[in-house]
Amino acid sequence: MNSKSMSPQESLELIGQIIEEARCRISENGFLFFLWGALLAFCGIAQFALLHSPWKAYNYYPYLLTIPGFLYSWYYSVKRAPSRKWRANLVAKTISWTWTILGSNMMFMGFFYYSILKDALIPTLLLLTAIGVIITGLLIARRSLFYSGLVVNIIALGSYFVSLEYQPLLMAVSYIFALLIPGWKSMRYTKYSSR
Amino acid sequence: MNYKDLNPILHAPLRLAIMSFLMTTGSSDFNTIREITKATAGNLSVQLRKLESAGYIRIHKSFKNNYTHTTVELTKNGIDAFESYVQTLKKYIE
Repeated sequence: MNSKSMSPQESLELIGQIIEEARCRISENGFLFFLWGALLAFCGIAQFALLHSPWKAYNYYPYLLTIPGFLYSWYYSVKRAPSRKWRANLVAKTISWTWTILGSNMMFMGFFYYSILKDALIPTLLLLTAIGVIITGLLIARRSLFYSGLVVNIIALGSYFVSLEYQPLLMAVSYIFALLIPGWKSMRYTKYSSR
Repeated sequence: MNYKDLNPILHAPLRLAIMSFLMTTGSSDFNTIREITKATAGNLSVQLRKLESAGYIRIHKSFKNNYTHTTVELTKNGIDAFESYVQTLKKYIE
């Protein structure tokens, strides 16, 4: 780093550059967004297909895939994340804990509260997802993610009025926009910025 | 031009980079800060000590796998000083 005297403009540019670099590091967890976006979109589409087939009774089976997904996410975060040394990072830690708590609650509700929530299950899961996406968007200052979260929030509220047969499709679309696309963009951004 | 109103502790590229990074992360380790700032270990140590003397950061040393592990944490004074520095910068630019 150059030790010459800086003008106020140069100082502000330096601050902006370092903050952007810090955010760039945080976006390394784009892989988990991508993974869960793809997994849940697949579950939604598969459930929708099963609901409109002779195997209607097995429509919840695709969600069993979330168990290996959850275990792999845990393994990835603890052992394989390229940013292990970033554990001390306050923003990354907040994001990680937010999703761990939201994800655990979502899995718990999906597997054990179905009989209570019934038609309200998917909208509730979408609301929890929206909260996570909005918080993540605010913390890493990605406006597109913040707005995706708001859109999912609106879809979630609207889906309380949609029949159970079509809710999985709405869920798949929401997860594609809220998790899969931002995750893919984040992974691509990190790849290019690290060159 | 002499920017005498600007806090001299922060108005230095490496120290400003360290503080900007810590403002985003709260705390970090020595190697990460070195990677971000692209500074040499010696220079970084000197600048970190200056920031610590000013009360802007806290430095913790521990052992991890038989190696010294240095963690740097931003203090409340550091946050206040950084915010005040940015306000002063804005006044110069306006």
